[in-house]
Amino acid sequence: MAQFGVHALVFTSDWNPATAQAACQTAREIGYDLIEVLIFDPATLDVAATARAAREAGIGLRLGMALSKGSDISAPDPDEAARGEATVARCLEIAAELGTPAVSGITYAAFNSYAAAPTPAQREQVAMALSRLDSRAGELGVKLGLEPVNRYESYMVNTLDQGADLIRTAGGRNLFLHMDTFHMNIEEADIVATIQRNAALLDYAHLADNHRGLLGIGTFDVKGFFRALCAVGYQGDYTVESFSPVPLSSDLAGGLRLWRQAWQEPAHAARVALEAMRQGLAEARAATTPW
Amino acid sequence: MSQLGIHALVWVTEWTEADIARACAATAEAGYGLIEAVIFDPAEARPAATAKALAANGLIAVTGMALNPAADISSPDPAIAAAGERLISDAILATRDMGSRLLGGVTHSAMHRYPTAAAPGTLARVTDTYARLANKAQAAGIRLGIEAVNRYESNVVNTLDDAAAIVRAVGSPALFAHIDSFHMNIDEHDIAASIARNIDVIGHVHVGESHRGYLGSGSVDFPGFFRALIRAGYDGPIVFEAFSAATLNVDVANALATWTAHWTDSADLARHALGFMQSGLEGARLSLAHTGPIARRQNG
Repeated sequence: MAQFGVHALVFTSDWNPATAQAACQTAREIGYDLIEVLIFDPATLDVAATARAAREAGIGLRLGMALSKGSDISAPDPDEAARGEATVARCLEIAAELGTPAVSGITYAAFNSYAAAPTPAQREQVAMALSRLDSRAGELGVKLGLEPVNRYESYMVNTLDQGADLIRTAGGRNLFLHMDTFHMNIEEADIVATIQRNAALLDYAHLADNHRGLLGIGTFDVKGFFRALCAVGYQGDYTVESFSPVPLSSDLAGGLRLWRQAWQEPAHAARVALEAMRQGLAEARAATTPW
Repeated sequence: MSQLGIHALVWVTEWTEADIARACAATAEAGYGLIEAVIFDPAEARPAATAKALAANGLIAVTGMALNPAADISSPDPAIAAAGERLISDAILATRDMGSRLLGGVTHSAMHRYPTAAAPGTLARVTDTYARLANKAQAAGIRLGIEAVNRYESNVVNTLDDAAAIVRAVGSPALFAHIDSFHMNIDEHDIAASIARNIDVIGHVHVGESHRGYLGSGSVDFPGFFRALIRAGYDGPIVFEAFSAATLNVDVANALATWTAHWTDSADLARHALGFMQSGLEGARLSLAHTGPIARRQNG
């Protein structure tokens, strides 16, 4: 049964014991099954406090990550690439420590405004690193997800097809695709068709409207997305990303290019999104059930 | 009735005499009556060669531009802001000299992935600058556009409402809001509603797919977009825009974060786009014309 999650950045970009506790409690009270914690830096994430906050609130955990410049698995510099690989490996260990099924996000390159396209050699390098990480994930009993993001946030994997190709090149059995509707709305040609082509690899979804504000008030075809996933028997979870600079540090808001206050109250945004997801999934299930 | 055009970057990525001749010939060959030339550097706009190629191919032109981090009217650094104002002033004159009556594009800020939000006071400074530039545009007999672009390409004007607010604050007929369906698909709530409430200031339209490839192959709701334009009575130029790593030089491709070759055959893409826009606009006109009750079919 699919679970509904909310991204921690809906509540705060400062993840410490107190904010973790508050975010987990609020998310649970609203009715979420899961909260996704973004690992900014595996060295500084307070794993024990994160586990405690989730346990006390009675909410499940998902883990997200994004490599950054300086520890970029796709970098031509071998030291930088090795730092990137070590970062992903450490995040996999954290997933195992926390008992979460997976870690996913921008795991194939950095969250970065690249100034040039990747070369075939860089792609080959990433595939080899993902192959090693896939083995490590298998040892740890967790999975590693690749999230295609739009052209302005990274390169190499902007579409599900590109991610699937990379997974096939890496040959991994513990690798999966993590969808995000904000990015898919920009980069995919036919969203339904790409879901059909890549159904076997889909294992997580971020729900966001076209502008990443309140879910359901923009132009994204949420209904079509849920129907496409129900039609292919998708069993993964759904986590909302609804962003406003209000609860975020100015650095993070800047990095996400959030120039407008899409909403003022995190709990309101979270409630609106949960209602939209519940409604959307229920309707899609009904619509895709034979009668 | 809107004139349909095509963006020069579908054909070329520079504006040498050979590029000008090739882009204009290809535009006419594909059936368009209008080309949007890009002014990278006003000193290299080649107005005489452009005017000649336009005339030889029976085309009219509009022009587009984008500021850059060293010439940016939104910058708090007075020297950079002044360089931006100079660049636009020169582009206004180049536009006039090329025979174009309209200069659109990212004139409010650099086309740049800004790392932080615009500083307080930016909008007021930008608005003051537009007031001066509007006078220059009017004196040159052209109109100057403010293109709303997505959050990754500017931190100043991301929505049609943003652009319209500047146009209204300045209050000059020489200024207009320039919209682009690719950007609107990222940053607007309700595209039709935004067009309806701002139609009085919209002066230029770019038609781009969600991924900037073939029209109709992405997520933009084009029937809704065309209906909104027709319903509001828009009759200005409508220009098709698409980008591919297959045709752009590497600097332009990188600036636009174009990492893949979404398409390779410019002529095929251009012909398809013209047919798509023509039928889309015709469909919108028909839908507007059929607003009365639908007659019931009688049995027998």
